[in-house]
Amino acid sequence: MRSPRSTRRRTTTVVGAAFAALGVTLAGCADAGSSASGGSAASAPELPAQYVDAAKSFSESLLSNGEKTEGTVTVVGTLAGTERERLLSAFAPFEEATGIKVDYTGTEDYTTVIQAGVDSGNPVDVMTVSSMAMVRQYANSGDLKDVGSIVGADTLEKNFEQGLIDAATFDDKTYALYMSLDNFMVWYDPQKYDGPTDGDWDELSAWTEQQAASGSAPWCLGLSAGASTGWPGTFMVFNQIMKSQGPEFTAGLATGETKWSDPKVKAAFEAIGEIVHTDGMVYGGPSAALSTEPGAAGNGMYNDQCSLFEWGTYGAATLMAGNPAVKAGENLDFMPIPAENPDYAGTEAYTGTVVAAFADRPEVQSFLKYLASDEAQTLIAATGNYVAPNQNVPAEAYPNELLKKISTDLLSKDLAPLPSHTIDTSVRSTVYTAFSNYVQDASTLDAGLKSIDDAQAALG
Amino acid sequence: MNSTPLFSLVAGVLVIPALVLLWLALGERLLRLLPARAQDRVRPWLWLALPLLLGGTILVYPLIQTLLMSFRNRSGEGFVGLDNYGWVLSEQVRPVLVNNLIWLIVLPVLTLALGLVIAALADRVRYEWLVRTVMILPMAISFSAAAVIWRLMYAYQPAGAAQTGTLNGMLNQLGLEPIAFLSDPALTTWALIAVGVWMSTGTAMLMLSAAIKNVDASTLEAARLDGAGELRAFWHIAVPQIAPTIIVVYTTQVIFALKIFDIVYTMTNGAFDTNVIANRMYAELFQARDYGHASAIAVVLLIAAVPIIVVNVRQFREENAR
Repeated sequence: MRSPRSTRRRTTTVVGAAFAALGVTLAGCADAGSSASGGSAASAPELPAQYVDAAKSFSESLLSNGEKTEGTVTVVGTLAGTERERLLSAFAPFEEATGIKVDYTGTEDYTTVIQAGVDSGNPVDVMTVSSMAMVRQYANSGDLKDVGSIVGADTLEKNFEQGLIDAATFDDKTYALYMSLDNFMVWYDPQKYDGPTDGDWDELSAWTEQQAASGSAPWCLGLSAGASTGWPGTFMVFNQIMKSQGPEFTAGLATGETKWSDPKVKAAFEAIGEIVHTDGMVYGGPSAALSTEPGAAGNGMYNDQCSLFEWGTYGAATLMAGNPAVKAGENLDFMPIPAENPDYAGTEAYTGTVVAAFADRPEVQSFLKYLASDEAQTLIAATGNYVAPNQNVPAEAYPNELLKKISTDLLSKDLAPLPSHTIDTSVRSTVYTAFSNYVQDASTLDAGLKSIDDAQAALG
Repeated sequence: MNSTPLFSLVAGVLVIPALVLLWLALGERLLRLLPARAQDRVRPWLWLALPLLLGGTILVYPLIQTLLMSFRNRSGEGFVGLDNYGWVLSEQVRPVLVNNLIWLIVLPVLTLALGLVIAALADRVRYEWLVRTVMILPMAISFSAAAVIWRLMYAYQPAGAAQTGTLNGMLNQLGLEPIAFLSDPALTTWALIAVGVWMSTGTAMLMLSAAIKNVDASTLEAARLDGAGELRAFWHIAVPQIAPTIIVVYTTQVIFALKIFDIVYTMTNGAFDTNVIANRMYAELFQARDYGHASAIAVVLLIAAVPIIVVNVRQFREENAR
């Protein structure tokens, strides 16, 4: 009876090995499927040496007696993967020159992490977030330090446009400074796209309808983003509200003055909804949009899946990181989102990363001064992810013509904050969910808008 | 955020045990001053005092605090009576409760059924170790990681495109249309429950398999001699003997279903009619910062769990009494 048993054991080992191999293969496939999102290949970019040196010598000037200090500044922000690496590369000269360590945690759950820290009386030192509503909230609750007095009113005025300072000022104190700016635009591949680019909504709509009717989807759309699923489409709606109703009406969404169930807001949802729900308008239709990550969807421009992609400034860097064939200016270009109402053709909705501090220890103060400086903001520009809000940053700091164009274009417009930047984060997350549900099932729009009004009303 | 890890380590490893010993030594010293009889009465309390204090601080105090907060407004200041409970039962939250009910019914039954079948079948084969290993593997993965893995399993591409999701890839091979597992409201909750079952069947199987090994073989043998088939013998002889374990597994899974959060949060965040109560609580607490609503949900969850916990504890006691 000995030999059959040993054969049997061998079979089980083989089966086990087969299982293991299968597991590896599956994992491999899965990885290939998601790599187009551009988050996996994390490599810090090489920033131009002259900018790095300038940032280092500025950092050294922050040291009181010229000697390196110690200490750690804890930062909670939003970035992961390549985007995180790019941001950290702009912090590196500061760390090297001062000896201060910047401990950056990038998480999708930053609202929770920050709130939990504040509740426990042990908040993070600095938050770098995309929500001015959070700055307003923690400024009102008395948790934030006066960044204006730390950095100095003169420096702020010298470095930033007054509108951006005012946006972060509550009760005469400036509680945040802008580390980066971004906006939404329509990306396309100039080597293939032959539609209108002159900023007329009706012309663009006519072109997309014609494309859809001829059987090739004009729009790329990717809404899948874990707990924030729906956000890219929500941003399209926000831009639509801004460019059809103007900044004043849009600003009312944050205060509750404008109701989400307002017919004009609903019309903006329906304008985007029409794109999503019309057969052939969006590559793969609503289900594919809800299941695809934005970066992967944008890559559809290079797979003959779709030709227009509405996404943020960071789209340039993300698309290039995700697909080596994408070259800024060659096969990637953009046009501003056409304004439905020509009155607002000169208005551009921005969001950005704002920096606010819960602590004012010397090392935190140094870090804030660094982030406000021309030198650090030049590095932010050089990373190629965002527009640097500091107005003294030279245009040649941007790594490509595309970013240069975005920055001059953005900074020349009448800037108004996109609602995502100003509405409370709980309302924002309700909007994402309501939009996702609307994409899935158009009949849920009214109920969805009411749920957003409820969330706004619950804030009191 | 200034305390160094070293400081925490020293405090944890040295200072706390030292303080405990000091308390006990001092207490014993003082006890000796009392008459012998009083000593016997006081001593248990001296030794129990610290655990009670610890349990009180980390369990009872938050419980009472939550209960009190559930009667207050969003910032925890003004008294609002039963408003928050009214909200929990309102139309806004009702669909969420219905989803939890689905979880509550389906997850424990499926987990138990699968666990039992696998445990019973694996018991009869030589490569049981392999079955057990494979089944237990998911336990080593955190729920969030599992949710991410399953997002890839469920990934959807439009018909005609290359399917990157494992399941849709298989459907594709069979010539079937791809299915949007994670955005079709009719399917999504079920897709999430499947992840929950995948995660917890291993535990269930492990417990049941241990119980099956303890079934008295002679009783099964007797049943077979009396002409009972294998299925009948299992159902009428083995199952009654492992009933206590079945109840424990079932109640544990019910509680797991009640507080399900990670899978839903990571995979859909409640969109497409998949929201569950724990996710809603998280949203109320950390996003809306409404402590009243969040506390009321927590209390409702606790009340719902109490009967199950009672059954579980009773069962445990009976097991021990035997």
